[in-house]
Amino acid sequence: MNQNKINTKTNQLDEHELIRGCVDNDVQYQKVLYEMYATKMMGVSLRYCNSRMEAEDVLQDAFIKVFDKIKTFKGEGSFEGWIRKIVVFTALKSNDKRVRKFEPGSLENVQEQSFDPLAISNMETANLLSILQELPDGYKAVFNLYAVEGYSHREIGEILGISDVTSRSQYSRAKQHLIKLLAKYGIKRI
Amino acid sequence: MKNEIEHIFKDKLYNVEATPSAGLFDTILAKRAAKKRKAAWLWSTAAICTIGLGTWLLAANTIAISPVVTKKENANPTFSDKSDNITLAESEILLSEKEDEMTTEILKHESTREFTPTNSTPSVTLKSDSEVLIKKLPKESNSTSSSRTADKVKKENFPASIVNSEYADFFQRLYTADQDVDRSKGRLFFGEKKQEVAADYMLSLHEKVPSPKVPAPIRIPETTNQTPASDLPTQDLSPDTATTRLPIRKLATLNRWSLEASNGLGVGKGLINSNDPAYAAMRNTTNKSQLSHAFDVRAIYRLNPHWNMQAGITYTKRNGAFTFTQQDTWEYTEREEVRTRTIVHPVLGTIEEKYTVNVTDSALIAGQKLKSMNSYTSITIPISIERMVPLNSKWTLLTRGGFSASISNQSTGQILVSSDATALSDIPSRKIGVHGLHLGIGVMYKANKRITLIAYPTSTLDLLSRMNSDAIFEQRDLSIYTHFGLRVNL
Repeated sequence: MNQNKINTKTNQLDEHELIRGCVDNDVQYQKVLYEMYATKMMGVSLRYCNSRMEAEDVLQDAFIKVFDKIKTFKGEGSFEGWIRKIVVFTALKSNDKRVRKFEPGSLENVQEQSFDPLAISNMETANLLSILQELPDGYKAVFNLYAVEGYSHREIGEILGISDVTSRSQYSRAKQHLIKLLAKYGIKRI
Repeated sequence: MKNEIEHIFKDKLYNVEATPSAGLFDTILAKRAAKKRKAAWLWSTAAICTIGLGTWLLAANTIAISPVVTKKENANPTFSDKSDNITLAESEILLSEKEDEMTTEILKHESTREFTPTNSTPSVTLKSDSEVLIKKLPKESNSTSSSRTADKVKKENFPASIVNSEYADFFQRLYTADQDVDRSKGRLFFGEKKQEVAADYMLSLHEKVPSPKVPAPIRIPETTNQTPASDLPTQDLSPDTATTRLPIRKLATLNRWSLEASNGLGVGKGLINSNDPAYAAMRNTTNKSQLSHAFDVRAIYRLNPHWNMQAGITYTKRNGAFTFTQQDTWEYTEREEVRTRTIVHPVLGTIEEKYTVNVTDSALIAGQKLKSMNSYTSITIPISIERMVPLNSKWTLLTRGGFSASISNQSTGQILVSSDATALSDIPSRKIGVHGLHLGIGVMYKANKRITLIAYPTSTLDLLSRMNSDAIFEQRDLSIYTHFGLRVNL
């Protein structure tokens, strides 16, 4: 199937057909899939990485895995969710190469701090992303998984190999760290 | 407010999008292709290694497990012995039910082959003939003597003792001659008493007259329990106790190792490569090959009847003459010359005046002939694989090839090191790292069971330059030596 034929059909391209094309290792279908999800997944990757270059490396590895493993996708859940999960796990695995420090779980020393939510809402997305990227790797992973991806602390514990209590404490510390970083951008504490 | 930070970040960042670099998809495809190639390469390597190892093990095992040697008492010795108190056991080889003329022929050939005792006991005087029975056994038979059809082959000069390697060689030939022989049915009965046959053991004569009763041939179960050699001569070969499998593997492996020593004579040439074409052309016309030689010793391990692996050490010395005749040149020399001129003056008369002029003398100098006898020596470790194709019982065609790792390299002599040089300089050789390939086709003549003679024209080619990296040229040697030597079968 040539590129033009796919292009004309992209809008109508059935997800099932797209997956089947990728399972058959058809480069044209793979390109369509890449173009459909690359920008979204680049955003996901950027949240877990410290730089754009690192995020592109993660994205590259993630798409290689997607193309390699696509035949294992059984249609349970959304296809985009499946790809997102691969990107997230690839990013976490990439971060594993750096030492991610998790302090043992205890919430006693963590004090909740407040902030002006409206000011944060008015911030540019790029700035929020930069702030998130500035978080230490351990905090960033837990915050991303809990606050953005919506995993539970138990699931995060399983993913990162830590206890759910540690996950909770890391999340609280991550938030406090985040608020300190927000202060750099002029977000005042209340 | 506690959960607002999650909401804000989730709302703003969950679906954040960013455009990756333009060429990322192509990189993904390239990386994936490379990964596949790597995987394919790894699988291929693993498959080749597995097949190779499997084949090798199969070959080794086939030699090891097939012929089980047992013994039986010979009720009717088929030879007459003038010495009454000496009885030679009868050898009996039982094959599968497959009728195979070639195998029979081999057996006949083997049985009529003269076995030379290597450790004859002086007290044993064996003047009689012996017989080897070649019989065919029906498959799954109980190996009863009545079920066999005997084909007796006369054998002269049956030995007082038989070197184990003879049996190893025998079974090897049997196997080589016909792969279809069911070697698990092969049985060799030899005498009444069970004897362990160690690697260095020689089956000896039985000095007692065997019992007239003919026991049925005993099929000895294959087992890994091997009775120590020292215990075996006293053990009876009864069905109850005969559970030891004689180590034919050891017999076979006796012939696996050989040593080879050879000396090669030949000539070689330096292949010159240079960025300066004039220099390369000059070198190619100034080198003249001289008689060279190579000395080689190596250990040979036979993988199977047709292939072996070799490693050893080789000393080569390639000789060459460097001759270069310089061009004739003009030589100019300046000198002062005092000359006299005569002036005739109308008043003063004739005046002689001396003056000095600079004079340049020129002379044609014939070009010198520069000559140097050069040699390029190397000590290398050759690793080769050899294919053996038996032409007949004596002659074998050999082909071998392999890689040589240099451990020492020396070039002595002088050459012109550049195209505009006027005087000879020492050869800028490198000391190590001149690896090479070699390939040879030769013949082998089996002089006796241990010694074989070889003639082996072999070419060698350096893979790397013999010259230092700062030389303006590269030189690889291509040589052809014809090796003559011998192999000793251990």
